[in-house]
Amino acid sequence: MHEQLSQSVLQNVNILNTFLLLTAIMSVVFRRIRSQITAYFLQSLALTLICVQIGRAFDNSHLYIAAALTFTVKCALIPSFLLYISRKTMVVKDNEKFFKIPTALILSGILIIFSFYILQPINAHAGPLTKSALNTSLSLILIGLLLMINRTFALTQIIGILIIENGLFLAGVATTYGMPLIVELGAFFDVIVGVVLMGVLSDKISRSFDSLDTDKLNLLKY
Amino acid sequence: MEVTSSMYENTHLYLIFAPIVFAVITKLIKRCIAVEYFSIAASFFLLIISFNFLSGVDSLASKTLSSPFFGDGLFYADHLSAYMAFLISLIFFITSIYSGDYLENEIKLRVISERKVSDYYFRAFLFVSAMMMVIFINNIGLMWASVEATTLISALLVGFYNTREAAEAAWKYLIICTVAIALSLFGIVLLNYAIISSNTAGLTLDYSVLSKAGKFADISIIKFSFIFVLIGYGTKAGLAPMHTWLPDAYSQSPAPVSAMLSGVLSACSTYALIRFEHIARISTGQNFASDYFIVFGLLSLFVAFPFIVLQNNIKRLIAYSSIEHTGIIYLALGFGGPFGLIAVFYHTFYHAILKSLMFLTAGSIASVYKTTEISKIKGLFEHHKFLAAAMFLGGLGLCGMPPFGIFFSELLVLIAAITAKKYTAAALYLICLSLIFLGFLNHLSRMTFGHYAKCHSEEEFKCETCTRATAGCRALDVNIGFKMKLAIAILFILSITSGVYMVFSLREAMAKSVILLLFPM
Repeated sequence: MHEQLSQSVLQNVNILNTFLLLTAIMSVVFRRIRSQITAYFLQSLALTLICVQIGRAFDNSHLYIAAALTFTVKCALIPSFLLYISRKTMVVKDNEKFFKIPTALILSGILIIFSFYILQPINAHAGPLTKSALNTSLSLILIGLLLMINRTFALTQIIGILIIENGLFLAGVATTYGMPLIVELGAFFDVIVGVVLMGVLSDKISRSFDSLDTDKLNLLKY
Repeated sequence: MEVTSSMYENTHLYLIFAPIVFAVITKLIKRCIAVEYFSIAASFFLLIISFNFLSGVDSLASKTLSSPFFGDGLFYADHLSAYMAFLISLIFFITSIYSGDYLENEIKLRVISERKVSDYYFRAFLFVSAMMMVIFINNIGLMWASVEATTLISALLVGFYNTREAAEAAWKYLIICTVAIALSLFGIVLLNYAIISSNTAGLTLDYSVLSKAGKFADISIIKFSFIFVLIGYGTKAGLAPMHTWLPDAYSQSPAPVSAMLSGVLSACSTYALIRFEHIARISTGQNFASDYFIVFGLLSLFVAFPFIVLQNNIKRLIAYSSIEHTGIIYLALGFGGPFGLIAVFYHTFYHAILKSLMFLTAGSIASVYKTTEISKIKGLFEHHKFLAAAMFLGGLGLCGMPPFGIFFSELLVLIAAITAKKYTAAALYLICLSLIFLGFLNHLSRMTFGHYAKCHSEEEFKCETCTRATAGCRALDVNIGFKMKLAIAILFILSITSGVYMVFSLREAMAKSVILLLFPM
């Protein structure tokens, strides 16, 4: 793919990529559910901006549609739904399972370096935009997984999945300038339905287990 | 000729969209009985048209199907998709015969309310529609979206009961499978990146295009993307070590749903993986996937073995056996070659039938004994000869005794291993199979033989166990319904006859899918 990007677009996207990583690390650090949701909101906002930047640089109208969808779904609908669920289940704070917060912070740094390392064979042939975006997206996926492993509350796990999904979306946008639109629509539909289902299920869990702590989901063994 | 050809070209639309219409209709019908009979009729309709499609798939002029409203090339069908569609509708038909009586029984026991019956059928029809979408969609990205849709809908079916255990199982299933499937989307994004950076004109994410594209990509990137896709779809199929959701989900969902999940849903995600592997093989010109398949397949066999031997829950026992059989299917994929691939398709078919038989029988046994604990199920042969026969013989078939089909497909896997010169893997495979056979047989004979009432009243703690035993004895007189028996009998007859004789069009479809996957041009 010939990348005839102007230096300024590249710079902007790189700054936004860094911001994405920053918000992902914020969600590893934060304990309060509300702050987690805010971090996710900011991350989705940065993703929307990346979409618009790349869409403008390549004059690609379907990236504008993707940006609009990202904004409505990930900045408006999903955060407000998560806030609604957290108010309904009255969860305020979350706790760590394996690693304390400083350790988790160091680990997420290691994960970022690790994703740079394993993407080397692919990055050898890639352009500058693809390179930074692929690294960022794999880091987001790994940090999302870390968040899901390290936290016990159902809502944080949902946020972990959403961070992973943001990473995938970034990979789609920045490496191939958007997956085909119909695929993106399918993925968006799945995300919305999935989040609603998980919200409903976590409400059910909080009612029948009197808590949203997934550590208490241990009735089924072996 | 024109007319018949166009008839076949629209069958996939019926198979995908008719279940959605049926789902809406089940919501409109008020009476439980009416919903049950309607769904049996509707699933019979799906079975008939999918069988028709299976015999007519040869006459399809083009593999990509043009369809009104959707334009050309959104859907794609070949022998492999016709075979899968037939398998799905067959299992769905039999489970919907079974579910009527099963749900009535649950209402009688006050496990669910009558209102939930139409809910169940609504979700089941949507589930079938999503699986048909996986089978017939052309675009690899949309195939991913459909696989994710099957996860979401089947999570509703897994969490069908309002118990804490069911909520826990549904949560684990939803979270683990969604994350895994998200990883496979990353693989597909990388494939798309490889397509775009190859600068070849006319390449899209469509299977029909990519399977004819020839070598276009660099191996490092395709290998990277294949590993992500393998992890994602493999998790959904129940491959160890990503299997942890599987026993929970299979044991907590209603018996007909477990049959569908184990029989056809895991086959669906294996189907998506087979398609992706085919493209990966063509686009790089190298067969790099087989080692990954063999390692994961053997690992699944190893993981399944101790859990099968030590299991005390009948439904979880059968669930772990599903992990074992997924392992065998992946081993066959790894050995490859004509024998390996034909073994994959035969094994998928036989496994779907026998595993449904086992899950449905286990569901009936659980409703008779009011427990799923193997140690409390005794004297099955004394009280329910029919269930005992289905359980014992079906279990033997599942472990690979002739004349059941699994014997033949497991033999084919062995032949494929020897042809591929993978002797160590073949030896490990045989050892695991025989160990699992011993463990399984032990549980089967403990349940089938012995005396139910006697063994309880002779125990030390008389007061407590006596009352429970007498209550249990009264419960054992419960008759299982006619439709339940019918579904189990159909599956039993199918499992024996298909081992000896397979319908011609089905045999042909499997053989031609092997050719299709082996020789891309």
